Amino acid sequence: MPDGHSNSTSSAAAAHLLNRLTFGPRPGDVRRLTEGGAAEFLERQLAPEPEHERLARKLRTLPAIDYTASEFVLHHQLDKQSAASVECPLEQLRTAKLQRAAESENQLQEVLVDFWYNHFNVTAQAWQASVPEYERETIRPHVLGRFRDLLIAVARSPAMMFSLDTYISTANRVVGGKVVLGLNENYGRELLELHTVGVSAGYTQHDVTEAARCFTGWDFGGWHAPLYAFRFSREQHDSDAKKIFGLALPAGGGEDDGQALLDYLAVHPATARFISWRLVQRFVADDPPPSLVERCAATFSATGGEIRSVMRTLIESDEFRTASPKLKSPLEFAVSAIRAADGEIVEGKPLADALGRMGMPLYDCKPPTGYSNRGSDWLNVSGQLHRFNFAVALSTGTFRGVTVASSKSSPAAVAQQFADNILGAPLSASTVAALARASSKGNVAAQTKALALLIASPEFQVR
Amino acid sequence: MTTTRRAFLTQAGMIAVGFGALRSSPFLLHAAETATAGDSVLVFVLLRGGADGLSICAPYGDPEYYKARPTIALPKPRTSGNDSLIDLDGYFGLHPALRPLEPAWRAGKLAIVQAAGSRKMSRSHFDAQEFIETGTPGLRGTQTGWIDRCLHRLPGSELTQGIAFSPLMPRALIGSEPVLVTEDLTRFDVEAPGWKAEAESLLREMYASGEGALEAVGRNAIDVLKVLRSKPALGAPAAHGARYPVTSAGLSMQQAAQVIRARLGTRCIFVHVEQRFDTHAEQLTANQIDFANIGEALAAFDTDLGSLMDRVVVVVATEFGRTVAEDGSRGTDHGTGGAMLLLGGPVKGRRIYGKWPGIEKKNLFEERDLDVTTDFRDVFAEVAEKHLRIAAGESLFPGYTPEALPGIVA
Repeated sequence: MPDGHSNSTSSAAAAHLLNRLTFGPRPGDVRRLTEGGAAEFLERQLAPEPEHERLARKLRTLPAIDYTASEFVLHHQLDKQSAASVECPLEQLRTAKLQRAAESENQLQEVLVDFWYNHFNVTAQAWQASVPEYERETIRPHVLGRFRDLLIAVARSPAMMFSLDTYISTANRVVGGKVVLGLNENYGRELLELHTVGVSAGYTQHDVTEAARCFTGWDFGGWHAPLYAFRFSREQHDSDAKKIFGLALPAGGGEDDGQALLDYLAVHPATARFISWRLVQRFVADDPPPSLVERCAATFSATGGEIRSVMRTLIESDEFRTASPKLKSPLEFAVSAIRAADGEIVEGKPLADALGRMGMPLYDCKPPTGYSNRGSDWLNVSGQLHRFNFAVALSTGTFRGVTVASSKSSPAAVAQQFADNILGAPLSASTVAALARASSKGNVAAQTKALALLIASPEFQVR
Repeated sequence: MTTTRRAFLTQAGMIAVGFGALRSSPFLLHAAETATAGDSVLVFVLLRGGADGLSICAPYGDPEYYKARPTIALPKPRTSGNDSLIDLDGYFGLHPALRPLEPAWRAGKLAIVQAAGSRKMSRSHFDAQEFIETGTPGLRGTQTGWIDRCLHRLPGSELTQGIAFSPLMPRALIGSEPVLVTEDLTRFDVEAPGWKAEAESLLREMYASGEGALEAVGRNAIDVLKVLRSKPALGAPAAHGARYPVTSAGLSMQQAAQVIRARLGTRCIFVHVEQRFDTHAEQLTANQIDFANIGEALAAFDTDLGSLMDRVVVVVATEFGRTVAEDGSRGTDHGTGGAMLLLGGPVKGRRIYGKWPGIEKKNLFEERDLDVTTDFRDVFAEVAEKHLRIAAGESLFPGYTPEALPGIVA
């Protein structure tokens, strides 16, 4: 990157901020950030505001995203006709996610909704109707809030209780001298491994079983009112004493057992480190610098798990400022391309399908682990070919469901604008050479070919 | 190609090196030069999620099996019609949904390794999948996969020497060798109506000079198209009346057969299968569907390739077995020892390999899991050594040398 004169250095810094904290710059973003300053941008991103009317209007055409799981059922029962319009929440949910990513001014919030949903991943294939509510009520309100609140909301959500079998896990009983099994350890294990302290924290199989016992009797109402609301069943709960990972719970704790364990894990030093490590991997580097993880963990512990404060520590760090390029995930690539081309998503399905072909079907990552935050995990020949094809289709206006403004500029001007407005850095020699060879032959204009190549270029695959 | 391979190794930070020491060993050079296996092929099928080995190959002769699993044990052979286990040797039975594999078993082309795995595995899916793919149980962060290390030791470095039918690059293939990763070969092409040739040429040029892994993958994506286009046999329909299930596993196995028949120089094929193998609840239902899918896909592959199976060994593995006892939801939780399947002409089949550790409480690993009596690496090493004809030993599995090979491959 050039550092000879201050102007280009600050636009490089602006592009870096936008590439790391948003779904990529739109034309004009780099200039606005350079003029307004990084501090102002950061404060705005850390304090989300109501969506602008243009996006809000689009989201209102997607009724399924506002439904609760029980409303899907009720609608289906009451009115088979209108149910058709809300029966495919996944498609609407995907469209909403993509439109928010592409158009919201609350970019960091949308990146974090993606991050936290993925951290507490549930696949829509398990129970599709529970997912809109899960993202809207459980994840979204807490993405910049307190980790404890997020953890508890997830633990009590029908989507997670269903996904990891909490709702069917009950105390093992002895009836007439015979053991009747009830315990299911699925949630107990993933709570420790994926949600809080992480697999390296040194817990044992015994801790997993004990953790699972804490949540026996946690359930959501089935067909009784209130439909799918959290409820605790004392009869199904294992009321004996428990000991998990240094926390002793006396007998008879009831619903408080699970609550006490979540409170304990939410602020555990291993959780502070693991959550910090995950955030640093997403925002800074595939292999997180330990120094930064430690500082973020210190902030986490000092603030009782304030995600906003941890993000501030992360963003204001030297490690973040000087981070090397990191490969974009398919979602990051596709949305950043649409933003770079000043495009608009009219219909989400074709784009969602394309992401599926790139290995990232939205809301459909089956393992509870979620998608990898390591950029390099997304690198393979087929993924790259799909990116090339997406770049061509998007630029030539043939990608269904997405519109881009067609350019009247020369190929050279398109390239210059892309370097200035999107990359915040000059193009590489090989990209410049390829652009120079783009012909005006055939039915595709030279400047359109130039945009396709820029989006397909190595420098645009990283952020 | 050497440039490409070196580029994979030296790119900055994306896949750390750490492989250099192995690479420069004179022993390896020797191994590569003396390899003469012609075109033997390994197909490695990874069932992600921890498929239950005690349901794939159930010890119906052990009364403990029925005690430990009161609601999900499978009925003894010939006691419950088509729901009964298929008798294998008077003690173990094959899951009824795997019935499509019975002919291969009878023909001596299918072997099972019972109680396989590693005591150092992990009950975390994430860790255990990493371990089975890197071949270093208990050791996180190994930078190369065991199949990559196999490919590295094989002569030649065609872009299609290693192929993964997978949505993403599997860890087993990460390392210095180029890999064709795809879910659907029929969609593997540049789409640029009106300027396709020009687009390919310009894309290739943009990625021509970079030293990083990204640039190498960009180059390979274009270069491999030429290889695929030179083999029209790739789209050939299944032979010998083979019928693949219309599932992701079926499509992958069918394409694996096409690739083998088209002679692309492919030596190692990875097949990713992600079904509901993580059966914490209602295991009977899930296994019935998902094992049928696997059984049909493997059987169709065997039928399709016919005599070509003489140069193919399919290894079906999963990251861990499941608990011996059922849980409270008619399912099982993450365990340790499990079952592996080997299918192919060179397989000394119709046999169950591995010492049976028993499933009485006192014999269990950590009082809950089937113990491990065959290290999974011994099986991998045998396939590498006897089938792919490359030296296994510690260089293939860092820190581990198999004491004796199980003797499954002729």
